[in-house]
Amino acid sequence: MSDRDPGDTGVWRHPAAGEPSWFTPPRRVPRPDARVWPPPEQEARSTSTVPIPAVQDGPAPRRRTWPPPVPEPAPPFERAPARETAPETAPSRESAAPRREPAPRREPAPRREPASAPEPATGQAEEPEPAGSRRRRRPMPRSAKVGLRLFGAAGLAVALIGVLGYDELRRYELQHPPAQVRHIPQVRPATLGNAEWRVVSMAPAADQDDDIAERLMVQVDLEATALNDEGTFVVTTPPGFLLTDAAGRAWLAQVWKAPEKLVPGTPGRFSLLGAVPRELAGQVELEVWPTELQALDASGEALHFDR
Amino acid sequence: MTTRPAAPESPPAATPAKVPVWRRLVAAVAGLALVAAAVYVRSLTLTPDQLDDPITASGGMSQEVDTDLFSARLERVEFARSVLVKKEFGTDRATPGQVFLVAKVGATAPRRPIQLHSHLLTADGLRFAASDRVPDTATLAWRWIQPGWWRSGYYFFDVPADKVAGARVVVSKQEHTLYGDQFYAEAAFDMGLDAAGARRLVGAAKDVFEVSG
Repeated sequence: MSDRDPGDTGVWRHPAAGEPSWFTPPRRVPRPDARVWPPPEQEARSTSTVPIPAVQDGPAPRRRTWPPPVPEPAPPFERAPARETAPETAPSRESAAPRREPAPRREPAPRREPASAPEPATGQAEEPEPAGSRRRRRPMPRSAKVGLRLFGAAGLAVALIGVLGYDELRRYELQHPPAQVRHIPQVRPATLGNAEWRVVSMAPAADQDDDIAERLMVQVDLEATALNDEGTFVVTTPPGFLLTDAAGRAWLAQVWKAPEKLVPGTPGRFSLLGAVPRELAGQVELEVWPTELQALDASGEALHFDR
Repeated sequence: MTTRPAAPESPPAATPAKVPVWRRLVAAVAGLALVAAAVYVRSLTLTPDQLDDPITASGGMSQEVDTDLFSARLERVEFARSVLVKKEFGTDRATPGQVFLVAKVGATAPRRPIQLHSHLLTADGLRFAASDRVPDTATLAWRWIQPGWWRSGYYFFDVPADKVAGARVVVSKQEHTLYGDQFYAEAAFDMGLDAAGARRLVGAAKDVFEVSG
C-alpha cells in the first residue's frame, strides 16, 4: 500500500490497475523448466505398488475333480427267484424284497393294459427290478392318496386361519386391554392408579332436570386422596365414572364439582351427577375407570364399589 | 439259471399309460372349469375400501334400526333456509350455502353411553358431513345416548337441493383417527325421497328453524 497522499479524500474509488486489491488474482509463479521433447523414455512396467497378481501365460493349473459316478453293478435277473440256493451275502435291501409275497398283489394292477403287455407268468414270480433303479415300493392305494391330499389341504387351511386369527386376537388384546374390575365394598376406600377413592354418599340429587320422565339424577360424593404428586392430576383429568346396574348396563356420571387443587395425603371432595332410570336410582353402583375413554370401552383396570 | 420270457419287459410306470380320449376330454373340461371358477372367485374379493367399510344396518323412515352399540330411528326430515340456535344467552342464526336438510333422529343404547355422529350419503355416492355452520351443541352429536330411554335431536346437513333424492342419513359412533376401534357398525336410513318428493320438500322449506343448544 502506498502512503496516504494529501489528495486522498477518503471516498472510495476504483483501485488503480497495478494496485493489488481483493479481486486481483495472485501472481503466477513460472514453472521450472522441463524437457518435453524428445519425450522421456517410458518407465518400466512394474513400478506400480498396487498388488495386482501377475497373469501368467499358459493354461490354468489342473485341479483335481471328483470321478464320475460309477453305476452299481446290476444284479442279474435270476438272483431273485433262486433265493434258496443263493447265499445271504446279498445286500440287505435286495434281500428284503423277495421275502414278501408280491405275486398275488401284482395281479389286479389297474394301470397295465393286458393287450399291450401280455403277462403269461403272473402267478409264478414277481416282476424283476430294472437294472440300477432303487427298490420300488408298493404303490399307495388311491383312497389313501386322495385322503392324504385332502387332509393336507384342510390342515394347511386350518393352520393358516388359526395363525391369522391368533395374530388379530393378540393385536386386539394389546390395543384393548380386557377389563379388570376390582369389587370393593362401598364403605371401604380403594386405590386406582395414584389416588385413593372413597364413596361418601350416593343419593338422588336435590334439583332434578325433569325433561325426561323416566330418569332421575343421582349425586355421588367422593373423596380422593392423592398418594403422590402424580395422583394430584385427577383434579385436571378426572377418571371416568359410571353408574352400573346388575344387568351390566352403565350410565355416565360426570364431574359436577371438583376441588381446586389436591395435596398429596389430604382428601379432596368430588361431586358427580348421573342420570339413571328412576326405578334403579337406589340400586346403581359406582365404577371408576382410569379415563373416560376406557370407561366407555370397558378396558383396563377399574374399581367397582358394591353396595 | 433259466431266462424267463417276461424278463426284458420294462416296468409298468415307464410305459405311458394309455388313457381313452373321452377321459382326457373330461379331464380337460374339468380343469378348465376349475380354472374358470378360480378366476371367478378372485372377482369376489373385496377391495381395500370395501374391507374397511363398516357393517351397515339399514332402515326406512321411523323404523328402528339396531346395531351392537345403539338403536336409532329417523323420525322426521325437513328443510330450512336458516337455523336459529337459541343459547342460554342470546341466539345465533346459521344460514346455509344451499339449503339445510334437518334430520330428527332418536336413539338409545343397549349397554353403555355413546355419542353418535351423522353423515349423509347421496344416491350418486357423495358424502356430506354434518354442517359446521350450526354448532355441535345444537345437534344430537353433543348429547349422550344412554340406556333406558330414547333421546331425540337434530342433525343439519348443508346440501344442494338436487342431491337430496335417494339420499340416506347414516348414524354411527365416530371412530378416532389414531386409536380405538375403527369398525363400528353404523345405521343407515333411507329417507324415501324421489325427485318429485325432494322438490316438494325443498319447496316447502321453513324460513327459520328454531333449535335450542
